[in-house]
Amino acid sequence: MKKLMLAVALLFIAESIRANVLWSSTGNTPPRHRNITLENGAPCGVGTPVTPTLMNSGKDIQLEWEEFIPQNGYFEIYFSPANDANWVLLKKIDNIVSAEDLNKTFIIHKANIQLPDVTCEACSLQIIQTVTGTVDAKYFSCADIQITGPADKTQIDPSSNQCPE
Amino acid sequence: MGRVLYLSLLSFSMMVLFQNCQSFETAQVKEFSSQCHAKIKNKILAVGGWSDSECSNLNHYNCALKVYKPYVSSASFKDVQCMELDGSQVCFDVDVDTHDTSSLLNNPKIIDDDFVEGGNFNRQEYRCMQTGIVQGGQPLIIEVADSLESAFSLARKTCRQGVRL
Repeated sequence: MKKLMLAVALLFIAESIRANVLWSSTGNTPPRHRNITLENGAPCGVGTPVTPTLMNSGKDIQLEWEEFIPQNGYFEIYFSPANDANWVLLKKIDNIVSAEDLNKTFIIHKANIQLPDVTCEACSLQIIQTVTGTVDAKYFSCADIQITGPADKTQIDPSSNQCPE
Repeated sequence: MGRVLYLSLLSFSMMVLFQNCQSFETAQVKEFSSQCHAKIKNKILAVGGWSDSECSNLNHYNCALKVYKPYVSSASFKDVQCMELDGSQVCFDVDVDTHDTSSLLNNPKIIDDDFVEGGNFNRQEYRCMQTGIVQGGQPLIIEVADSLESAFSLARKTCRQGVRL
């Protein structure tokens, strides 16, 4: 049945706008939706926030994301305290695809980050994949989180990677 | 003379904005982050200062195509693609990357909808970049769409937001 659908689909010329990085549905930060988002849908694409994953402020956590069709570039992980805005860069990770991985179409990546020392009820984590080339391509995925627990500060550390207003 | 003037003004504006952005960055992250780039893009477009010829000259654009489809040959090549623009036909050298997604058909994380026309793994993306306006060595304007005509038109439209001369 799947092959039949595929054959029918291939009869048409493709016209679509999707992409290839997602927070892992089996990791600590499941994606808000599975439609991966391009630049024109940034920062989080279509979909309303879902029930957030509960986390503790300042804690080290392991993040997991899925890359489809591995390509050279880098990943950036951002935190938003509310409303998918005021993104703060938490980590940047180079993505150099090995010869072995070039033959794969699916890779699960993992990285540890330290959550900001804040509390927030509707915050989000975003991953951006940049595929470098003649024209760079960017793909986006967001996850909803809630940060509880003791926090001395309600503002993000000003020494963090925050852009100016 | 006009072009030199606006490029000088633009360089100064970008230098100031770039420095402001950098001042928020930590020692770990020296590069211009994607979110910071997006923010500064909007500020530079609001200030603008270049002439319409910067946007209307087709030589100031590079376009690329990424294809994610099952059973295509994975390859990278240049292709001449043409389109109708303002009543006449224009052609671009397009950098094409094709990626075979067929091995994802057996991935349990992938659903059938991902392979219907326009789905996550049966799609194509055109990106057009305006090469004359850069910030921190990176092009300011890259637009994405599902057709060459749309991607180019969007890039030109964005460029024209900053036309002041």
